[in-house]
Amino acid sequence: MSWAQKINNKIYFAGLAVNTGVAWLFSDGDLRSFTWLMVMLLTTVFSHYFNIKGMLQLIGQRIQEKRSLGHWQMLGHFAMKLLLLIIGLVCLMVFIPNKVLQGLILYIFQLIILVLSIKNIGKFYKKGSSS
Amino acid sequence: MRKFFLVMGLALALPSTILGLFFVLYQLVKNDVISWNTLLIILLIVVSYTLGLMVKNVLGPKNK
Repeated sequence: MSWAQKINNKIYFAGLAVNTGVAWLFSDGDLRSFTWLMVMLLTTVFSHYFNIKGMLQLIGQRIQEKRSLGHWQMLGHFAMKLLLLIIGLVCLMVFIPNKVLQGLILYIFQLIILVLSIKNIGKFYKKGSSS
Repeated sequence: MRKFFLVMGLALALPSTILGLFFVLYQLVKNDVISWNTLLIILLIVVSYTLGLMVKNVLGPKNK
């Protein structure tokens, strides 16, 4: 199962576009701040991609009770997610420490966008659903 | 299942925790209340504790 089957790309990328605009506002026209805020946003987007892939595998394993199938691949996805997030956060904290609060707002907004763009989110909470 | 959601919650909250904590500690550094080293130590302790909590819940006995 892929990202596109679970995430509404229109909503997600519209949210990303809005977030890019907000990042430009937060950077006060300073290209350096904008660049690092965008690095943080892009690493967040890729970490969401790997998170969704890992989560779908995890949920699939829980439903089918096949723990060994794709276990290392799933761990790889979560490791990539963590690595990307660490890169984004460290860049933000090292290069523009005075814009960390703005970075936090952008990160939380992107997380909200991810949750809003999940297709049929209710199915995740229903017991016995395999789709 | 409860532990699964606990670990997921911790994983999702970790970046926000790091950024929020860094913001607060950075204000303290700017006002000369604490040094950069103290900031790093506090940040590392909190991150390690959260990661440890996640690992403990993943490896611990199952709670259905």
